[in-house]
Amino acid sequence: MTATPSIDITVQGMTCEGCAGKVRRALTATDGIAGAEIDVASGAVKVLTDGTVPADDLEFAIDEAVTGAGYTVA
Amino acid sequence: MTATPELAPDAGSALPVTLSVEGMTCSSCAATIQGGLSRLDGVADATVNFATRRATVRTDGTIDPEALADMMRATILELGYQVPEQEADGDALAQEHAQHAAADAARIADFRRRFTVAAVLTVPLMAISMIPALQFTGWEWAALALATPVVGWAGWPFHRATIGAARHRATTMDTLVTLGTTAAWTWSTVVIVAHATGALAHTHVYFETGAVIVTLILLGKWMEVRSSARAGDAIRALSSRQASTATLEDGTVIERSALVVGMRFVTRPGEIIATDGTVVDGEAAVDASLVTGESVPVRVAVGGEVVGGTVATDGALTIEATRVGSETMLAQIARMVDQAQTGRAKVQRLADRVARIFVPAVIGLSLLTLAGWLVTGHGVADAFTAAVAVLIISCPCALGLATPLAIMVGTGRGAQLGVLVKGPEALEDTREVTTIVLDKTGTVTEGRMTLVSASAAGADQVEADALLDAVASVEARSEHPIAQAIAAARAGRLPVKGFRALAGSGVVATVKGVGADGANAEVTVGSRRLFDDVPDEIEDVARAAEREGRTAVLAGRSPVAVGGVGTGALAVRPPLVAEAVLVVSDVVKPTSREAVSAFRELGLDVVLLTGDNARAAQAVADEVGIERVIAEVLPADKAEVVRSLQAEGARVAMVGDGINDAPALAQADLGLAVGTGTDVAREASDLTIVSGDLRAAADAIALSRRTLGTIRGNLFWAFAYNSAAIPLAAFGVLDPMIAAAAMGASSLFVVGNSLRLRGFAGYRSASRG
Repeated sequence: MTATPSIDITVQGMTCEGCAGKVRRALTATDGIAGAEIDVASGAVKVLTDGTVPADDLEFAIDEAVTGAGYTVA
Repeated sequence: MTATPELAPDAGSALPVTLSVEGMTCSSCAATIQGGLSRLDGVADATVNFATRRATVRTDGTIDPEALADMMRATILELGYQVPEQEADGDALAQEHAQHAAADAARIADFRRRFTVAAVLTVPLMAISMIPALQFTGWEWAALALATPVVGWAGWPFHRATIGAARHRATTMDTLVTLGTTAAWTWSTVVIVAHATGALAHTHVYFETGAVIVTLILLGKWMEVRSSARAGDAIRALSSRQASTATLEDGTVIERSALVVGMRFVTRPGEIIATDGTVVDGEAAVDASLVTGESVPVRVAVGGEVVGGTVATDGALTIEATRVGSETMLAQIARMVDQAQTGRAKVQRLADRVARIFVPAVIGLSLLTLAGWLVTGHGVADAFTAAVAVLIISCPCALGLATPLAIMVGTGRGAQLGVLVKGPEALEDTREVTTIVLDKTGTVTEGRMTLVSASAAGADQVEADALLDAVASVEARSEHPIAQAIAAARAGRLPVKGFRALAGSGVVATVKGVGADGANAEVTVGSRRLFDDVPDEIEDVARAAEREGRTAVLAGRSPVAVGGVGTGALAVRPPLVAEAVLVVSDVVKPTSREAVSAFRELGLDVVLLTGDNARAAQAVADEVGIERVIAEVLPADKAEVVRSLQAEGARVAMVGDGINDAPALAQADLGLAVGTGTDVAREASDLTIVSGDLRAAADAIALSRRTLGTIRGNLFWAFAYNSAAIPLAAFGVLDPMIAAAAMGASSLFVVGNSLRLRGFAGYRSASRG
């Protein structure tokens, strides 16, 4: 349970930069997340953490944020 | 049955005629037929489409479509091809109905125009006839000038109907109007001509009487055609329910009518499926509620059958068309509705039934009066005066208002009570309803899934509750109605990640802290077959629920697989044990039981009708107190059930909400649609219950009885006042003032009596939201 610098996830449903923006905003508004690198074409998202929240809890929070924005975590 | 040429409304007056053609093997066949058709007299241009097997011909307007269709058939047969006996498909029916609607609109405009003109001319006519101060020299000629167009032109529809009825030796309300008004006008004209020669000096003229009768009856007629116009109808609503185009696999968009059996088309999520077919690729939950009234979407995969007009909610499908045009389920429903509606006995107008007896009696009395005066040695002029007066006074001008006024007030009151009345027939049908048939899903029940019970095994209540909260949290991520029902019923939420749907109707996700010792656990929710082991106490609950026609959903936990979710690593995992059971069901509306006892108090037999299995149906029937259940009925057979009840001598009211109920609603003597249902059901019905509260159906039936009573009262008094004046006329003491008083009194009574309907309290007490 060590804090990881980043968590890689795949987000489904993003079609353009607007979507990526929504996902990024939802993620950065979440405690423990510093930022996100998003590739719309593949859906690959690298979530950058700030180490303040345990990785396990962060995974739930990421899922919640992405789902709340209207996308799904594969 | 002969092929009906389909008429498409067109910009010009020339309507294209379309026929199906069989026997074409290639496009050169089509060209041959096209050549043959374009050489016909009166044809502007012809097109024959090989793909759709249709020949369409546009006329130059010199020939009527029926004749053209016959010529086309002959030509096609001559060339060696066949014209199938086609049954009109939904679209053709819809077009036909659109033409009816246009004709209705024209009738309304016509009556409005005639009424307006009649009213404008009648007002000054009454003034000069009734107020001596206004009577200038020769005013009677002015009265003739004013009255002639009113009685002649404005009243023409009544005279035309009278002539039509007379051909069948029948007398209707129109006969009475014609008799009274023409007698008044003819006699008055004779009198003023006589006045000019110095004869009949003290004889009254009745110009205004004839004009007032025409005006008031026109007012009633106009109100009536306005309320009975079928502004919308079931067939057109059905047609608008369908996709207008279909997208082929290569992305080409074609008209739905151009689809042929065997073609493959693609449906995107949320799109209406264009026609009936078999799924050849893809998987989706299909929402068939529009067609079947079933609230739960059905998953279809490759090989599954889908029905045109349903919606694939969550996936793309490639479908091979198996039925098109008039063969599809929706087209069949359209035909059934159409047949049921046209096969319905026309409601015998009460006013006409009275007139059938009254008219001959009046003519008899008039002749008797004439004979009586002559026999007692009076002059011919006096005898005629009295005989004509009898005819004039016997025409109750309130007659025209008696029915439409009561219906208008009844309709208005119904609207306040949440019952929309579609046409006047619904309230004027004298045939007393004896049996009420209730569709189950969406009518007696809510028509959507609700969580009925949830129980979980666990070391203690806290653990059990946590597990159920976990289930609700996972289900909240799913779009399925059952999942939504579970999620909506429990407020508790736990963090969820890695949600995914499982093959075999279920979902799984990792939920925070619900595992042993507060670890995360994967929670699986779904059908029995997802579980390796189902303990007895859970099995018992599930079986009991299924016996009542309810749905049981199981849930269980398993440790999070090592290596994270979805790595595909074949970790040895412990067997998945069901630890919770949630029972979901379409529950009975809270008001249904009360409604059923209300129907009983109205003296109706209550029948529950459903396509569901007998167990589920019986459970609902027991809950609301219905004894007679007809279950497992295919959608197409619902109308048949109504018909067989009618054959037993019952007068059937039917309450339903789905497109599949439409034929039964149209077949019933009184169709009531639940307003929360489909527009097609509403259009096929006589009445719509806006709220979906079944108790309003009891109100509706009580209201239609009260309205009918009011119509009867109105007719009685409309005739009574005038009949009371008949002896005065017979004895020669009638003058226009008395005639006007009788008319005024009866009209006032009819208005007052109709307004009493506004006080109709409804079946339910005043406590209504």
